[in-house]
Amino acid sequence: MTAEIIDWDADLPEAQPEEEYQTLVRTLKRTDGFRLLFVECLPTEGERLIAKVQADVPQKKIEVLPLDESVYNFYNIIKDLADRDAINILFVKGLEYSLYEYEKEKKEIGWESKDIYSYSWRGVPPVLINLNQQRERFRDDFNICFVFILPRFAVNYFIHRAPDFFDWRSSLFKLSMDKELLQLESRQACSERGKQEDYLALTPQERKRELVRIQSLIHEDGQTPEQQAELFYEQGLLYGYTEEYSKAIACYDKALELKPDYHEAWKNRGNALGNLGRLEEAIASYDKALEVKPDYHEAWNNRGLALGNLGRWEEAIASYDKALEIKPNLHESWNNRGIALDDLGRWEEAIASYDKALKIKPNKHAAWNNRGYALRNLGRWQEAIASYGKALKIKPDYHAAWNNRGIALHDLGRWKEAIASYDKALKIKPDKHEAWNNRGYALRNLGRWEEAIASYDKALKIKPDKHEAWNNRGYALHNLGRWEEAIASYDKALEFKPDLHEAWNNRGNALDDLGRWEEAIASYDKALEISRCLIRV
Amino acid sequence: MTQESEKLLTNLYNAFDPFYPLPAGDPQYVDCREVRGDGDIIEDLGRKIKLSQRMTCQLYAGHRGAGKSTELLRLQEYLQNQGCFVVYFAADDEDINPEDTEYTDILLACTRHLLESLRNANSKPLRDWMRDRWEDVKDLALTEVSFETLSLEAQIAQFAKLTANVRTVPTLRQKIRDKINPHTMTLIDALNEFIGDAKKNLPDKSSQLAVIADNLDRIVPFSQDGKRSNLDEIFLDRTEQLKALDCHAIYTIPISMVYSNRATELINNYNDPQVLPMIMVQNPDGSTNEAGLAKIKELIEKRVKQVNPDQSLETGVFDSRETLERLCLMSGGHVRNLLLMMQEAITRTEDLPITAKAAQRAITQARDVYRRTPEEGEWQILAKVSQTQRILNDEQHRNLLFSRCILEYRYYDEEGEMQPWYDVHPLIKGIKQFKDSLAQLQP
Repeated sequence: MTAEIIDWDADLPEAQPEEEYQTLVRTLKRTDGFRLLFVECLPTEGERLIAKVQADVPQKKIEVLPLDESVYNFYNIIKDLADRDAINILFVKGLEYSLYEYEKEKKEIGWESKDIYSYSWRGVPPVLINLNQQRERFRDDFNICFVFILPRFAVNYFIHRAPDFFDWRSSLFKLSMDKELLQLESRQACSERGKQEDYLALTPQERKRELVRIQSLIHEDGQTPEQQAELFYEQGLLYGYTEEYSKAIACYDKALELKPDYHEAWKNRGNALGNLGRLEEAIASYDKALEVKPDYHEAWNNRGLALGNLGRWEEAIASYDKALEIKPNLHESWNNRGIALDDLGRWEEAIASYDKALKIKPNKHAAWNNRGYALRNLGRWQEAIASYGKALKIKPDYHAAWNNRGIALHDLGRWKEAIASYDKALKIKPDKHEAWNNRGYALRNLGRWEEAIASYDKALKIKPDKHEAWNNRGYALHNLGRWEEAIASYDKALEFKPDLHEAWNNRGNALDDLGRWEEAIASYDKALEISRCLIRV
Repeated sequence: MTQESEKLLTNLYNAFDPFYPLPAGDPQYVDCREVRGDGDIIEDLGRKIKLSQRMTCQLYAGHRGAGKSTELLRLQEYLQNQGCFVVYFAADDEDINPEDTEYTDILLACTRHLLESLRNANSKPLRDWMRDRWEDVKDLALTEVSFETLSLEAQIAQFAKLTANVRTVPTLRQKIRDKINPHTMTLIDALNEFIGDAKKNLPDKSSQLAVIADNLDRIVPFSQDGKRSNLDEIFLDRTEQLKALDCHAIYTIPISMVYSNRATELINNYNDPQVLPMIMVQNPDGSTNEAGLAKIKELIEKRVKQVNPDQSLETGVFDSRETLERLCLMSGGHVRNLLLMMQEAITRTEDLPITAKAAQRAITQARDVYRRTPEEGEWQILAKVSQTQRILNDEQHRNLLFSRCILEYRYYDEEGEMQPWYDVHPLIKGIKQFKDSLAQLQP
C-alpha cells in the first residue's frame, strides 16, 4: 500500500447522501437495544428516509412518533406508547416545534429579540430539560433505538442546551437536500401567501408551522444568501401581521444583513418601526428603501405617514406628492395628503385632494368623512353634512362620521338632529366620550340641563380628565342654580387644565352669583391674565 | 463481507457505547493517573476519608464525559473494602432538576437516599421532622391523608415524593423549597440523629459512612444579570450545611465552578476540589505525549479484547498505526469523545480494518459539532487560549470549559510542582474560524 499523506486537520467533503444512508442502515442493523441517533435534515427529506428504512430494514419493528405541537415531558410520551416493548427503532420527528415555541415563551418572559435570535442560550426549552435530566432513565427503561429527525437549527439547540443528552449519541447523520430541491422548497415557502388576508387567515398553529418551516429552511446547509434573505423577510411578514413588530424588525435586519439592497425589507422594517412609534427610525428605513428604488411609491406614501405622525406636515405632503408623481391614482396618498393639508389649515386644497381620492375610489368612506371635516372648517355646513352622509351610506357603523355629522348639525343650530346623530355614534361605540360631551352640549342648547349633566357625567366616567366636559358640566349646574356644585366642577376642569380661561371666567360668574365677590374677582383676574397671555402670544 | 466479520463489527460497535460508566473492577478499566496529573481518586479522596478523624466534605470536578462516574464507582468499591459503607446516588436521576437546583433539593435528595439505603436504622427522627411539617407539606406531596395514618414505609416514602415533585413539577418546586427552607437546620439535625443511629449498625459490619452525590455537575451554571450564580448559592453560601452531615460526603461539581471568581473561597471551604483532567495525549509544546497516547490505545484495546482477544489493534482493527493514533490524538484525551469517534468510525466500516478514510469521516463528523458550539466572538478567545495555554477567570472561559471547547490537562514538572494547562480541543484546530482567529493573533 502506498502511504499517502493525510491532512487530519482537514474535513472530508460531505458524504454522498447514499453513503450516509447506508451508514445509517448499517448502524440500525448493528443496534440491539437503547441508542440515540440524530439525523439532521428537513422534514420532507425525513419522510423519504423513514419510508426507505422501513423497506430496507424489515427485520426490525419500526415506529414513527410524529410531533406537531410543543411537548414538555418526552419521557412520559415514550412511557405511554402503545406496545412500547416491541419497538426496536423509533423515529421521532417534529421535536423542533417544542423548541420554536420556546422562542415565544422567551419573549413572554421579557427577553429582547436580540437575545432570542443570537442563540445566547440563556435558558433551555422545557423538553430539553426533560431529556437532559432523564438521560439515565431513557437508557434504563427503554430498549429502543431513538432516531431524532431534526432540522439544523434544532440540532443546534441540542448541542448547546441538551449537551448531556446529546453527548450520548452514537452518530449525527446529515442528509443534505439537493440544492435545486432546496431552492424550490424555499421559494415555495416564501410564495404561498400574497395578500394581507392570506396572512391574517392563518390560525396560530398554522402560523407556527410556517414559522418553523421557514426557520428550518433558513439554517439548512447550502442556502444562498439571497434565498436566506427572502426567508427571513417572509418570517418578518408573518410576525408583522400578528403585530409582533420587534420580532419582525429582527427578521428584516437579518434579511438586510444578507441583502442590503432589499428594498421591500427596508420598507416593511419602516412599517414595523412606525407601528412601534419609532418614527424617526422608520423614516430612515424608508429613506434606505428609496435609495435603492427611488420610484417605490409605497415607501414614499408610508414615509409621509411617519412624517405626519411627527407633525412634519409640509414634508409629509412633499412625500405624498412624490408617491403621486410616480403613481397618480394612489388614492391612499391623496387621502393622506388631504389630512396633512387639513392639519395645516389649508382646507380648500385638502378638499381638492380628497376629491382626487374619491374620483379614483368613490367608496373610500374615510375620504368622505375627512372631506366633511374640511368643509365644516370652511363653514360649508350643508356640504359637510352631505359628505358625512356619503361616508355613512358606504359604512353605516362609522361612528366617527356620525359624531362629526352631529357637530355640523350643531353648528347649524339643528340641535335635535345633532343629538340623534350623536346617539347613533354612541350606539355603535358606547365609550365614545367626545360624542357624550357633544351630546351634552346640544342638550344644553335645548335647555335640557339635567340631561346635559347626565351626558357629561357619561363622558367623564369614560375619561375622567376630560376638562371640556367638567367645564361644560359646571356651566349646566350653574344654570340650574347649583352654584357650589358648579364651582366644584370648574375646579376639576382647572385641575386638569389650569390655563382654561373660560373655566376661570365661568367660576368667577358662579362666585359672583353666590356673593363671594372677592373670590370672584380673583377668578376673573386669572381668566384675564391667561387670555392676555394668549393675546400677546 | 462474511457473516462472522459483521458479527464482530456489531459487537465492536456496541463495546464503545458511551452511556455506561464502567463498574468498579471492570476489565475494560484503564488506570490513567500518570497522564492525568497523577491524581487518583482513591489516593486523593479515598485516603482522606480513611485517615480523617473528623467527617470530611469534598468536591470532585471534571469535564462532562471524562470518566467521573467511572472513577466514583471505583472509589465506592475502595471505601467499602476499607469498612466504609457508601451511599452512592446519581442526583439527577430522580431528585433534582439540573436546570433549576437549589441547596434544599440536594439536602432532600441526600435524606431520601440515606433513608432508602439504611433500612435498619431508626428513622423516627426523620419521621418526626416530617410529621411536624406535615400540615405545610402534605399538599405538596400531593397527599390528603394524615401523617399518622400512613404506614412506616409510606411515611418514609414522603421524602421521595417531595424530591420527585421538586424535580418534575415546576409549580411545586418553589413552594416546597419555601416550606422546607426555614427548617433545613432541623432537618439536618434529624438526619444526623438518624445517621448516628445507623452508624451503630451499618450493613456489612462497616464502621464508617460516606455519601457520594454524583451528577451535581450537570447543574447548568446560571446567573442572572451579574448576580451570584446558582452554583455559588449552593456550594458557597451553603457550605456550612453541606459540611454539617455527620458522615463523609463527596459532591460532584461542574468544572467551570472550580474556575469561578469564587475559587479561593471554594478552596478555603473545602480544601482543594479534586479535578479529573483530560488524559494528556500531547505536551504543552504540541508534541505527542507517548505515555498518554499509550493509555488511550490501551483504552481501545481493552474494549476490543472484550469482543475478540486475538484481534491486533494496529493491523487487524485499524488499517495502520497512523490511523489508530490519529483517532486517539483527536479525542484530546477525552474518553467520551474517543468512544463517539470509535463508533462513528466502526459505523462507516463495512469490513475490518477501519480505514483512514473511515477515521477521517468520524473526525469530520465530530468536528462539525465543535464548529457549531462556540458563539460569535468566542473564536478569538479560543485562539488566545491555544497560544497562552492559560485561561482567564471569566464567564466566557468558563462556558468554553463547560462545553469542552477548552480542555484542562495536568502534569508534574521536574520540581514536583503540579502544572495545570489548557488547550482547545484538537478537533477545533482544524476549523476555519479558529485558524482565522489564530492568524489574526500572530503579528
